[in-house]
Amino acid sequence: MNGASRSWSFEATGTQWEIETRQPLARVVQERILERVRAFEATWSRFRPDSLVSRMAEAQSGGTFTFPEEALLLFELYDRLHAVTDGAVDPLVGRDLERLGYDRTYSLRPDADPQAPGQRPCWLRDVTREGTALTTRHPLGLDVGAAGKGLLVDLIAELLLEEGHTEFLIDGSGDLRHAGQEEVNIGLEHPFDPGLVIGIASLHNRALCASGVNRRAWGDGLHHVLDARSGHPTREVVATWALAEDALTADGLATALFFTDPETLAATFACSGVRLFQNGHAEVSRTFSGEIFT
Amino acid sequence: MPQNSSAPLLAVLSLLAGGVSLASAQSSTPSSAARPTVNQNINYADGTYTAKGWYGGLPSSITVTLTLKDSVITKVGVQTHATDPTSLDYQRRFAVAVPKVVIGKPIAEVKVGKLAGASGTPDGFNDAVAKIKAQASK
Repeated sequence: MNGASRSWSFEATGTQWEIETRQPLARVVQERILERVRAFEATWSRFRPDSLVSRMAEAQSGGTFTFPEEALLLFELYDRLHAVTDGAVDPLVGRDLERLGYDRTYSLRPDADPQAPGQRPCWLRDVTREGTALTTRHPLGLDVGAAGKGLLVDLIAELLLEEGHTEFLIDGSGDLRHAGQEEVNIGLEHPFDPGLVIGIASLHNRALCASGVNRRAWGDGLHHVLDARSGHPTREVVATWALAEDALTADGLATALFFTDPETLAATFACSGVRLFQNGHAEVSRTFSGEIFT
Repeated sequence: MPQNSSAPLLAVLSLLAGGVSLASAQSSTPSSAARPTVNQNINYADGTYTAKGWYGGLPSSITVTLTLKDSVITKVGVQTHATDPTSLDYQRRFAVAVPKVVIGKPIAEVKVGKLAGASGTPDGFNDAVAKIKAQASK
C-alpha cells in the first residue's frame, strides 16, 4: 500500500500470511482473525487428523458431512470450475495427492499410479450435495487447495470490513485481496527464479491469486497441481495468475488456468488472467490490467 | 518411479533450473519473411511506436504498439477493431497469445508493492525436503 500503513504477520494454512492496513490492527481484531483461521483449518485441513475432511476421508461406509456456511460458495464454485474445465478441477483429487506423496506426513514418496480413469472419484458422481451437506458412500478425500485459501482470504476481508478497516491488503502467500482508494502494483514472480518478476499486475479493490508448480515440486514430473481426469500433475502450464472481485473466485480460476485458456474462463466468470507455459510463452486476457515483460 | 532416495532432490533441482528460455531476452524479431523485421543495420530510436494495420475484405484493422529499446522490441501491445464476428474471434486469439517469449526482470528494477507467485513453501514441506536432502547425502 502507498503511504503510511502497518503490517501484521501470522502463520496459517501451513504458510506465512501478512495483512497490511492503514490503521494498526487492535489485539482483539487479531484474535478474531486467528480464531477464524483455526476454525477454518479445523474444517478443511487434510493435515489435521480430526478435521471434517479427514473424517470424511476415513469414513469406511461414507456418511453425511455438514460443512459450515462458508462452504456453500466454495462448493458452488467447484460446480462451475468442474464444468468449465471438463472435470480437470475436482476437489476429490485429495486421494491422488496422497498417492503421489503429498500426504499428512509429507512423505513425498509416490505409492502407486492413480486409479484408472473410470474408477477415479468424481465431484458430480461420488458425492451428493444438498447445500453444504455432502453425502458419501465410501471414504473420499476432499482437497480444497484449488480455492480454499482464497475463501479464507475473503473471510478475513469480511472481518476487517466489519471492524471498520476500509483500506487493506491481505497476502495469503500467493493469494492477495486489496481494498482502498489507490491501486497497488504487484510483481508477478518468475516461477523458477525467486529474484525475478515476469510482469506487473495492477490490483485495485479486487483479488489476485497466483498458482505455480515451482515451490511444491518434489519428484520427476510431480507437483501439486493435478489434473483430476488423470490424477497426474499438469504438464505444459507452469504458472498462472487470476484476478477477480473476490479471492475465492480468483484462487479457483488460477487453478483452472492450468487447464483452460483465459478467454474461455472470461466467458463464464468476470475475471482476467495470465498463464505462462513451459516454453516461456504467455497467454494474457485482453482485459488484464498490467504488463508482461518480453 | 525412481527408487533411490537421491532422485527426488535431483528432480527438484532440475525443475528449479528448468524454465530454460525464460530469463534470456529475445534479441530481434521473428524470422518469417512475411512479417516485418527490424533491420539489423539500422539503429532505431528508443520509444513506443503505434501503427494500424488493415486486412481482409471487410474493413478490419488491428493496432500494434511496439516499444523499442536499443533496437530491440521489448514490449508488444495489440488492439483489436474487427467488426465481423469471425474476424473478431481471430483477432481475439491473436491478442491473447503474447508473441514473444516472456523475460524476467530483477525485482529491484521494478516498482512493486508486493509479489504474487505460487504459495510460499509450507513449513512441513521444507522440513520434509530437508530430510530428503539428509537421506540423499548419505
